[in-house]
Amino acid sequence: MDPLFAEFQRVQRYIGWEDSDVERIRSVAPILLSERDALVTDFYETLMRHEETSRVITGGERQVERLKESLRGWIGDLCSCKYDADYVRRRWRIGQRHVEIGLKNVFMHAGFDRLRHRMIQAVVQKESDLGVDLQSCLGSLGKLLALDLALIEDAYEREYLNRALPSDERRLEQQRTVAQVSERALACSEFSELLDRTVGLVASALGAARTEYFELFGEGKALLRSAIGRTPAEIGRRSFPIVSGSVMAAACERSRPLVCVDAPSEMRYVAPTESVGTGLSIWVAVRDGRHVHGVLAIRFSKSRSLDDSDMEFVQTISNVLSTALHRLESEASRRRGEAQLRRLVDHLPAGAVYVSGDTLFVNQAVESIFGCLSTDLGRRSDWEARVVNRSQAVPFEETVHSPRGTISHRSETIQRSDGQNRLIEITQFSSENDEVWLIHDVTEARQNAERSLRGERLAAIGQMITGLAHESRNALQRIRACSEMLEFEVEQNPKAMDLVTRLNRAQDDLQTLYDEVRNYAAPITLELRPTLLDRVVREAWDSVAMLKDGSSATLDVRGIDESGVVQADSFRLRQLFRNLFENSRSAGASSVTVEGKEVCESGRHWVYLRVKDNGPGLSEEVRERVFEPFFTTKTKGTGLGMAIAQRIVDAHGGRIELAPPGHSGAEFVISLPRDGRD
Amino acid sequence: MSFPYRETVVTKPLKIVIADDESDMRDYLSLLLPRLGHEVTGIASTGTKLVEVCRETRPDLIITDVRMPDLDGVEAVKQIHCEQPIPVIFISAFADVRLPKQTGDHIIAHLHKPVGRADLESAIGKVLVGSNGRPSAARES
Repeated sequence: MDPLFAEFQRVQRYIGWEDSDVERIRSVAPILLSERDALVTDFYETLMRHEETSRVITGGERQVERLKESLRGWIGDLCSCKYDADYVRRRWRIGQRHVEIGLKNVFMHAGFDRLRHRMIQAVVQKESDLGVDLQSCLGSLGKLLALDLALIEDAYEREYLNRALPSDERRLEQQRTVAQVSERALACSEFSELLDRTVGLVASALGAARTEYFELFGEGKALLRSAIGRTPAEIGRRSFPIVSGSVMAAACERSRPLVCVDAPSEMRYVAPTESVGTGLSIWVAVRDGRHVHGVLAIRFSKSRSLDDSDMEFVQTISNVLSTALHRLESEASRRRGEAQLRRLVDHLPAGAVYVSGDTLFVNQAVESIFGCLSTDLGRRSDWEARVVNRSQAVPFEETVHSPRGTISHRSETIQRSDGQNRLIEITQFSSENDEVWLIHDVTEARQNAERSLRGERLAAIGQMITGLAHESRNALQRIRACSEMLEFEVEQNPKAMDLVTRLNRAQDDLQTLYDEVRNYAAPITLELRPTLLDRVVREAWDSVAMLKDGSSATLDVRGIDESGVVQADSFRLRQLFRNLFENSRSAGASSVTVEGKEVCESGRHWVYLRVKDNGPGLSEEVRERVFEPFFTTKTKGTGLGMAIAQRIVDAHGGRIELAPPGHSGAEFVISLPRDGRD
Repeated sequence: MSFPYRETVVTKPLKIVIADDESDMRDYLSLLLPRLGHEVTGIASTGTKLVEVCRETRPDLIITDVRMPDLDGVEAVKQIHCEQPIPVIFISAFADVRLPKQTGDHIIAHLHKPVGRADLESAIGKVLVGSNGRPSAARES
């Protein structure tokens, strides 16, 4: 037996429903049926007057007509006096339907009460038509209506409970989804990666047939960026204009999700909590700050109801996406800023060093000045190890008392990894916590300045010497003439002749001195030819070896072979090496080493020559003045040898410098451009 | 500088005119040249004087300073060579003096101060007696 019907019969017994009640209903039935249209009209007029109840009508007039017909049927059933299992099921269905359309129970009670009141009124008015006692009839009608209400209410309650259970599970699933999306939103490095995952999770949580993300770009255009329920070919290719008044445009203007019940092209919107038919979709904008970044569209293939929690879920997802966008944009902006700063520091046309405690951070320019990697200059001690010489730091007066820090200036000579010495100028900002150094390599500038100063000095000396040389030659000529005439006079006197000879020697020495000075001061004109360094060095050595008699000395030439060809003036180079070797020999060195190496630097080939001896080396004073003209430590000599050597190297566009002390003897480093000067 | 003259022993004493603005040099050459077996036929202290003396004495050789008052040695020799091609030995303090091209054939030597007996002896030795019986600068054959 139908359990619902059995239940119904139990309630009938409880309220004392008897066959006589059926007979009395049969008496009032004609009255109720005659009043049926008036009852139905009154019921719906009342219903439509109230906003809360009118909202359940979603189908307009047509639906109202349909609903009126159902009410007429219900009244007809009441009057049929056939209260069987089908009757019960039909009543049960009414209760379920009320849950489906979201009609609150309180309104059902109110509506039911109005109907009962109007029915009793109609029966009382037509008392004369009744063949039986009015009070008994009203009692039976009351029992019948009470039974109906009990049935409908029971159905409503059970249906409501049935629906509440899955709704809780759905909510739980949605919460899980929010947690998953949030986690990814925090971890992801690309928004597209987050989107691809989110559309899938959202579709699954809502049971949607399709979830899409349209990204806005350019002037009012949208592009399908990510989707589930679409073919991959459609993603990232489909762009379309956002038409004013379309669901997409409407979603962009709102901060809350909007629900569309038909296909989006029809653009019909309903309030989010209403039941909807197929073609149902939810649209929500995702914002990147104030601007709309895109729109998330969730579409359903099956009819379903959407409650507040569904809408809250969609809203939360949109918020999480917006937050992720904001985070990614901030990070990208920070990274851009960092990259720009790094670029600025690395491509500064000067070295930059940041000093924090013992740790140094250097830019690319510092790497190229030192000829090593930044990792080789990671600590202060790494730096100090390369400093050959340092000037006292000079503070800039105007910043000495600045509360932010002080700025000072100093210069250092550092040794590069390839052994070359570089002169650098350091402007240093020091605060309590750190230091910033700005570094310029002034080696070439200083060399050029010194060269130009030497040039100017030489030009002045040259002019003076030219004048002096002419007059001195005339005077020397007269001395010679007179001494020879004296010879004629004292030919027979050996003592006097000896004096004349000594006079002539002194005159010759004076002549040599003038020649050397003139040689030093006169402009050097080079005759550049491919010159074999090895041969030049050996010839220079031989001429020096011949000068010295008695003591023996050895020359060791390394790293120069037939490839050691430079474009040079061989006569001048011989003079250069002769001057160097003469100094070594005079200082008592018994062995001299010449070591060659070829280096490519800023696109030019250079030959580096280290000339090293095993003599006593140079004192600090000599080191400072070694290239000064007329500076000599010998008892005999003009002091022009090294100055001339420097002029010769200068003329070739090269450099000559003293190697740092440390080696026991004297050591000079000469660099010559292999292809001659520029 | 190369000299297109063969080292030759002078066969007879030469008549030489000397010119220098320094009296020490004039005295020296006057004393030295006779000791080398030559005759100093004229002494000048200026370029103009040199031209005059050469015109009067027609010497076999001129030994002259370059820088002299009024007319310098080079200009004076140019004028003399317009009249007679007499061999010349220049003595100057400068190495870069430009010597006249048209007289190039007759310049025996260009000596740089200070000049001594050996330098002069060797330079005079390059003068050869020509076929006309007069001494002249001899070409390399």
